Amino acid sequence: MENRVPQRPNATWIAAFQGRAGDRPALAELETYLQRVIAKVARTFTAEERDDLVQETFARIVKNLEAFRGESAFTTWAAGVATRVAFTELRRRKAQQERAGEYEALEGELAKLPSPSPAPDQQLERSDILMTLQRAIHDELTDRQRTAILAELRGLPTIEIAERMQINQNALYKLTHDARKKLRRSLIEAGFRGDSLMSFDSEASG
Amino acid sequence: MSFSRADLQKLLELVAMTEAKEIDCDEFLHRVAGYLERLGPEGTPPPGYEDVVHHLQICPECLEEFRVLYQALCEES
Ligand SMILES: [Zn+2]
Repeated sequence: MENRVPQRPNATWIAAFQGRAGDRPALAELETYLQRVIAKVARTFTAEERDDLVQETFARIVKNLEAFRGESAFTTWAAGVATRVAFTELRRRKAQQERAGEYEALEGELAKLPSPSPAPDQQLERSDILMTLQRAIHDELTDRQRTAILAELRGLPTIEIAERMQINQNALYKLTHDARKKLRRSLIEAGFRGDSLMSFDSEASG
Repeated sequence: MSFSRADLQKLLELVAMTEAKEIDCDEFLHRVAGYLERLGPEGTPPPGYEDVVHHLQICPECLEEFRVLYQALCEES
């Protein structure tokens, strides 16, 4: 087996995946290449699993072909898709095996949350940015945003969080991005404009 | 409170880096190949890929994928 990246013009790859030109040798070379990429994600994948992951990668490429804008060699983009597919599988397994039940535990923990005690009068504590953040988490975020944010902070795979919430991963990103924007606005409104929040000053639309 | 002090500190860093407009993980995936091919000799980020650099700072999963992909491409070229 020759260890090199298959070389074809991008248009050839696109035509092959659109089924317009069945370039079998090219696709076979790409399969071998992506097998090697996937093996680098985890050595624990068996040959059969690597094969399945390459097939899944091919399906994703077909589905997302219009997302390839020719910013790179097609093979580099395909390697990125294969890496994503392999990591998604790894994270799914990790969620099922090592981290089973963690999401429910977080949900349970959040459900029992007492509201944060009223802001204390002491000037020192009132200026504590973490306390303001904690209060904003309670006052500004929805239950789903709180759960998603905490689950991500604790390192639960986003594939797991998204599945539990019955949304796709892009919707999950939007949910937590909206939450971060709300929190950022709360901190600014509370007067925090220190170095760490300088980038917030230019916030226009939110 | 179930957000521990460590959680709050980590979250504060993310909040501090939050931009009004960000790319999500799918968009990152479609841009990262171009980014990788244009990386400077010492990992200098190419102009026009600020959204990709930002996503790498904010998303640990995409960062993890990026590291493996970068390594794989170095070994294959
Ligand atoms: Zn990401």
